[in-house]
Amino acid sequence: MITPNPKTSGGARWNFLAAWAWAENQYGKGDDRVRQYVHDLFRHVPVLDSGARGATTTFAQRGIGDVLLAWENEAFLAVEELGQNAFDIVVPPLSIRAEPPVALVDAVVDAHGTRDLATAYLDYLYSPVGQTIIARHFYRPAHPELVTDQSLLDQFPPLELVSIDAYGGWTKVQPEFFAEGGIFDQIYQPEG
Amino acid sequence: MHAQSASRLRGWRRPSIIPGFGINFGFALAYLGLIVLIPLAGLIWQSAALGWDEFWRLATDRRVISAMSTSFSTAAIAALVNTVFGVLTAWVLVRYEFPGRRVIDAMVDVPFALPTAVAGIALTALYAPTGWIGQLVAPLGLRIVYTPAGIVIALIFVGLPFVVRTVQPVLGEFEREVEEAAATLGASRFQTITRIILPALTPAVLTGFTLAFGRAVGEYGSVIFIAGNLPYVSEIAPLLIVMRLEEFNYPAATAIGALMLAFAFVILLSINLIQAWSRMRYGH
Repeated sequence: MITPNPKTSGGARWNFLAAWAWAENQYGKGDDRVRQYVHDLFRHVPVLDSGARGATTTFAQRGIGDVLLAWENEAFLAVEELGQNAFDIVVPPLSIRAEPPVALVDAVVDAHGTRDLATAYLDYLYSPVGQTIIARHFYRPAHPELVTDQSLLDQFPPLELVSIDAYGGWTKVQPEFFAEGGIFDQIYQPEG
Repeated sequence: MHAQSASRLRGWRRPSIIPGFGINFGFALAYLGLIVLIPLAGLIWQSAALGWDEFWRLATDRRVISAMSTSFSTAAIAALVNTVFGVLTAWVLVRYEFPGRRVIDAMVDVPFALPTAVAGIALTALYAPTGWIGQLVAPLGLRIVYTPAGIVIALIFVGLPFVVRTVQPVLGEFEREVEEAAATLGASRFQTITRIILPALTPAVLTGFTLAFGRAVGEYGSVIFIAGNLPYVSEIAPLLIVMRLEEFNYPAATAIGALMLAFAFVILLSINLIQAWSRMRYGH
C-alpha cells in the first residue's frame, strides 16, 4: 500500500480521511474498528513519501507496493502516462470530496489593483469553458451540467462522497488527526 | 586610540608584527555574529518559549530519540565509509598518473554542486528494485531504498568530496624522501604506511571526517527521497523538524533543532580535541 505522509502532504491527509470515512460508513461512527482499520492500513505502507507526486512515482516507477491511494485525477494521469494496461483504477464505493479552495484575497487584490481581473478569473473557473477544461484534466467539475462536452463526464464512475465539513472542517480535523500526538501519530506508537 | 587598545590587549594576546589586529578581529567577530551566532541564538530563543518541562518531554520523546539516533548513526557510518574510501581516492589521485586523472579529479566535486534533491531522486531510481543496481540485489531479498541503508548511501554521496578534498593537498605536500628514508632504514611497506604516512595524515583525515559527518547529520534534501520516512525506522530528525513546522509548532521544531545542534556540537568538539591531541603528538 502506498500513500504519502499526512504529516507533510496535504493530499495524504485527504487519503487518510477517505479511508476513515469509508470505515465509519462500514462500522459506524465511533466504533473501535474504524481506528483499527486505518491503523492496519498504514501498517501496510512501506514508504511514506513527503508528497503525493513522490508517492505516485514510488508506486508507478519504482514498482513498490500493490496499491496506490491517490486522487482520482492523479490515477487517471498515471494511466495516461504509463499506458492503459499498466494499472487498474479501483473506485471505492465511498470517498471524500477533496476540494482545493480558490479564493480572492481582498488585501492582495486591493494592493495590486487587480480585483477585476481576479474576479473575472474566478468567474471563468465556473463558466462552461472553465468547467469543461477541468473535466478534461480528470477533475470532477463542480457544475457538471455546464460542461459542453457531456461525454467527458462518462469517465467519472458514480461515487458517494462525504465532505470535510462532516468532520467539522480542517480547523477541527487538523489538530485532532494530524497534530503531534494526534490520531495519525497514535498509529505509529510502538506497542508495549 | 588603536595603539592604546593594542597595548591593553597585550596581556592576553601575543603581539603580532602584522598590523590591523583590532579592525580584523572586529570584522571577523561581527561577520560571524551576523552569519552564525544570531541565527543560532534565534533558534535557542525560540525553543526557550517551550519551557523546561516541555523541552524535556520532547527531548525524551521516543519518536524524537529514534529519529535522532537514525540521523546520527547513519551519518557516522557514512562518514566512516567516506573516510576510508576518500583517503583511498585522494591517494590514487595524488600518487598515480593515468589518463583521465583530471576528469576524475573534477568529478569528485560533483556532489558539492548537484542539488541534493536531484541526487536523492537519482539514487532512489538506481537502487530501487526496478533500478540498475537495485535489481541486482533484489533477488537476494535485499532492499536498499526505503531503509536506513538507503539513507547511508545518500549520505555517502553527499559527503565524499569533503574527505578527498581535505586529504588530497596534505598528501600532495608529502615529501617522498621521508618514505624513501624509512625504506633505507629497513621499514617494511606496512610499517611505512602505519608509522610514517598515516600519523602525518591523521589531522587532515579527522577534519575530512568531521566535515562529512557534520554535513550528513543535517542533510534533508537527498535523504527524504530514499529513506521511506517510516516513523521509528527510517525517519530522520530533520524530517521531524519539517513536520513540526507543517503543524505550525515552531517551538517544537526549534527545540529539536537545538537538540541536534547540541549533539553535533559535542561530537564535533570531541573530534577537534582528538585532532589537537594528534597534532601535539605528531607535531603537525
